[in-house]
Amino acid sequence: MTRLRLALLSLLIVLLTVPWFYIEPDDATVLGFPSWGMYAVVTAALYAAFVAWALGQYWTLMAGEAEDADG
Amino acid sequence: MAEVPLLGPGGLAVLGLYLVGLLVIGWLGRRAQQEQTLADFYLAGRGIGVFVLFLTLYATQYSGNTLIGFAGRTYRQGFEALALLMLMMIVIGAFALFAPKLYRLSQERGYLTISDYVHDRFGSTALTVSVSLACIVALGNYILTNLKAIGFIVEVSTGGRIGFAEGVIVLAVIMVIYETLGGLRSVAWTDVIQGILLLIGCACIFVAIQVEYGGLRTLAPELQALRPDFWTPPDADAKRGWLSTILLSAFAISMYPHAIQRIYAARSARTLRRSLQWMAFMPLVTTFFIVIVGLIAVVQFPELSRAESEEVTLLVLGDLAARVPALSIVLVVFLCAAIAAIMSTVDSALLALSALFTQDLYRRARPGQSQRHLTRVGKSFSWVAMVLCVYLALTVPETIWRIIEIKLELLCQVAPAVFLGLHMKRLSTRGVLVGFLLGTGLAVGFMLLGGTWLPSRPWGIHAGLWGLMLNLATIAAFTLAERQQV
Repeated sequence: MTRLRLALLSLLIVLLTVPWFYIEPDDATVLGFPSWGMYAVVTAALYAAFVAWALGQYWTLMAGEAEDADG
Repeated sequence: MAEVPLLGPGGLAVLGLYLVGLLVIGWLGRRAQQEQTLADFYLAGRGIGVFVLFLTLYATQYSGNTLIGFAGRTYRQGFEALALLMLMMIVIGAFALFAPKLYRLSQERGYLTISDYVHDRFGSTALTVSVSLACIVALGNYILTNLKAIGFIVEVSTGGRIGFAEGVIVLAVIMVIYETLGGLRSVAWTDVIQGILLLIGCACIFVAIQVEYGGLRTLAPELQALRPDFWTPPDADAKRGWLSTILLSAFAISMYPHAIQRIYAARSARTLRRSLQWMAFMPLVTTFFIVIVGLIAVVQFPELSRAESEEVTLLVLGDLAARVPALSIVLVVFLCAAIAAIMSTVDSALLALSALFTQDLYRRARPGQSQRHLTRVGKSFSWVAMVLCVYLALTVPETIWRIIEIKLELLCQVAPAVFLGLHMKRLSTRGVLVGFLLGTGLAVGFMLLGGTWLPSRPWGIHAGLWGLMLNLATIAAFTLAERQQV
């Protein structure tokens, strides 16, 4: 993983949190939410998990210590 | 304004106790002061641990708007307000991309403000001063907005017994006292109480509406009958607006100088990492709860006007307290939490404003001054800035206020200097400066002329993001041109 790839992956997940694929009106209700609303909640929760994971996994990479040491 | 006070004598006593507690903490912060230096005053000696750092980040990021404004927006927009979840989360996602390196550099080079980094990275006084001025204007506006909100909440919750002006003045004086007593140490310690209150306030109202009204799952059929339009997915314009909102948040809210100040103040990289990891999940127990309040309010209080919907959280709380008198305590906790949320935002912004003035403008104009002198200048500036903000909050008419209210549009023009500056070695300094100026000009132009012959959000995208795109294009053009010359 490089810093650019991590940033692009992050951007891709952000793009996917918008309910682009829900176009037609739908009366279905999931736990009190319309299906596209539930999609927005679930993807936002997944994004939070991704951010927490990325912070733990790639902190050193994002801190750029190795790159600066190389000059 | 409201005639029936939401806070009775008992509630006012709790609020008074809380305010006295803040002053005591401010004094304790002063006693814990280790040296008369700017780093000790503005960054608590770079020694904030994970618990305090997490709560100060939390209390600072979530303002009164989260508790009051978000519910009103949900009442009007329905499930489209779920975009607010990502609006708050993406700020932490943005931190994940630049905070690790910025923190490391701040420890190595002794940064105090965001402009310290900009000056160290680009070596341009014009760019540094431009960034400082943009941040000062944005912070000033942020303080003004929140002072107006706090006056409104105090007036509504006391049924007008404490007026808007008295509320603003008293709370402003309390904030500036504890802030100037102990700097970030006092502010962060008061944020601990304010953050806990905020969390408890949100949890209390969420649980209370589940118990008393039956929760969203039970009320969904009624909500769908009242507002079938809420079930319609956002159209293409609204989806672009959704994305635009969260991207603006990513590039602007993450640039708030008081947030950057907390990155610098962490005791260690591990401390900062842990705090940010927790912060990523906080919208799920704060923003999400308030969105649910706004949705349930549609069923409980249909047909509210736009102005009435702004007070919908308070309406829900008043109704809960009237139905079950025992729930009055929830009302008191929530109102204290709302006031706490605003205070924690204002005090942090004021401290960052004072740091920017002292470190980036005064110190540059008058080099060679002692740390003790600079700290004293910073404290004096806090008083002057607060007096000015209070005066403006009380006197500027709403019509003019809407025109000058520019925060995020300015701050997101700073983002390229930070995001790209940290991760790209070869970047044109002139490009960053010209890009910043052009981007700011375009964003401000859209803001001022929007709604006349120019749309305020062309193609559903915020003015700040159009400015940011021009900003980035300018940086790319200058950087490529300079590389070709080499």
